[in-house]
Amino acid sequence: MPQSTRTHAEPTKNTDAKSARPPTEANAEPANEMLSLQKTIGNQAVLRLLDRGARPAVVQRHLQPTIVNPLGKKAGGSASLGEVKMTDAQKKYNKIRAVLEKSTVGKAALKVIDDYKVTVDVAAPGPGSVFAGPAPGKILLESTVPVDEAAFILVHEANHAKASNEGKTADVTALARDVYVKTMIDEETESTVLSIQAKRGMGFFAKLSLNATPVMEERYTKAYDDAYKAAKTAKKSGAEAETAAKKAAWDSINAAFYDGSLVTSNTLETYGVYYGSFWDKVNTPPPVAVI
Amino acid sequence: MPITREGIEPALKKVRPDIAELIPDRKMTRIEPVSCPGLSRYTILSITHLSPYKPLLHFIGYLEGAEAIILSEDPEAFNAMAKADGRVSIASTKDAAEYAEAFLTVTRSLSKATYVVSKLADVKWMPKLDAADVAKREAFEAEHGKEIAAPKATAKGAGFEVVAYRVVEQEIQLATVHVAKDGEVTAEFEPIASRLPLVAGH
Repeated sequence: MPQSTRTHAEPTKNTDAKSARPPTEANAEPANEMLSLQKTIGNQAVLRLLDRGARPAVVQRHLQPTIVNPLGKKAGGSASLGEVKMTDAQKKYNKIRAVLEKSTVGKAALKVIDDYKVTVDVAAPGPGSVFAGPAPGKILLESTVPVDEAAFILVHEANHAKASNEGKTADVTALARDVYVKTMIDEETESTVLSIQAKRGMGFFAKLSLNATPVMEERYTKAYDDAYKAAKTAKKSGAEAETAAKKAAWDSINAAFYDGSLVTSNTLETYGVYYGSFWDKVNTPPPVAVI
Repeated sequence: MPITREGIEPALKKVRPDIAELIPDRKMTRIEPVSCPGLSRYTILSITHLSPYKPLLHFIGYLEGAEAIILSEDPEAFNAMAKADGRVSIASTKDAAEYAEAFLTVTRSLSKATYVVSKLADVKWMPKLDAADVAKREAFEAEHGKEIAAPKATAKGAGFEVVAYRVVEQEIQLATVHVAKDGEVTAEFEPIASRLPLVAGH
């Protein structure tokens, strides 16, 4: 699925039946924001601003993993402000947090990390990024992942951390196979959707400055827009249309985990197959290992 | 001498203790050799650990008694392994093609759906394509369908040049892999089609 998208100007909650354009989770009115800026600084200046926003984010690499205090406290604790020396990892983590501060869903993810004191390692050797339990757990973000992309991954993994810390993650030893698979995929779906909503909830210019697209954003947006338009055509209110659109988008992402649209990036299995095999491994005797 | 978990674990302990601690778990950690002709002393191993949220996959170069070389996502490490092996010999186009395929497989991105394709049918399209996506698929197949083939080597200079095709998320790339007879590899990648409705990795 093409991953490069530009979000067009979308209205926020609008109960005007004439408007069938679906809203994002953003509070900003991007078209007005743009018009206002054009009036203030002129078209050319706006174009220059947009160009700047299109630059790629800096990729930071770290030879060794560095554990960053999730609360963002400086190392040593007692140094005065002028003496603070942040590691590259701490700087990167601060940048990731700054990205997420721009949306309600992003802020909620940060709150989970802070409240449960989940350790975040932004310089993990990988490959891949993952939440590692047990609670409070660690979020390992691969060091080579750029800031914006890492921000959306952090939202995803923070939802796993939340489920783990609240005892809501599926218990592979207690649940039937099909219930376990469904529960895990529901959690994975919610994590993926939150990551997309973290971006959609940002203001127009905040989005423009990003150089990352959450996984399945395009599919989410299409399902959302289609359902919103259908609801408006059926004369539903703006709030009802938005509820229907969010549900349709969630369902579409959920289906992607089953139908093969979305696979594990390393072993290329559908998540339904993977979680099923995980349940099998835990609940059945192991076969003779090759090595 | 057979490869054992008791040998692999200490080889990883210093370089990647997090992988080393997965090794004794025979139930959840699968270790398998990866075919790679030409290596004399080293063996490439894939280590797959079933973790609750997603599988963890690592590729290592293993020689008993030596520190393991982590090959995942690291082409330079692959060359370091060939050098450390010291006796790599790629003598035929068949071996060169297989060696290049092993290189592409074990050094590929593991965060993005990345895989070598040997035929058009290996390309993983999204299920339930809409009309626009069907058109993209048909256009790709018409233009490149006959071109997609298994890695193929020809002798070139002092070594071999291998042409292969791989998928990286929604892009299909032509890989040109230069394989020296002593096993050193360099590779270039050129997109031949992008923004295709292919399955996404996560």
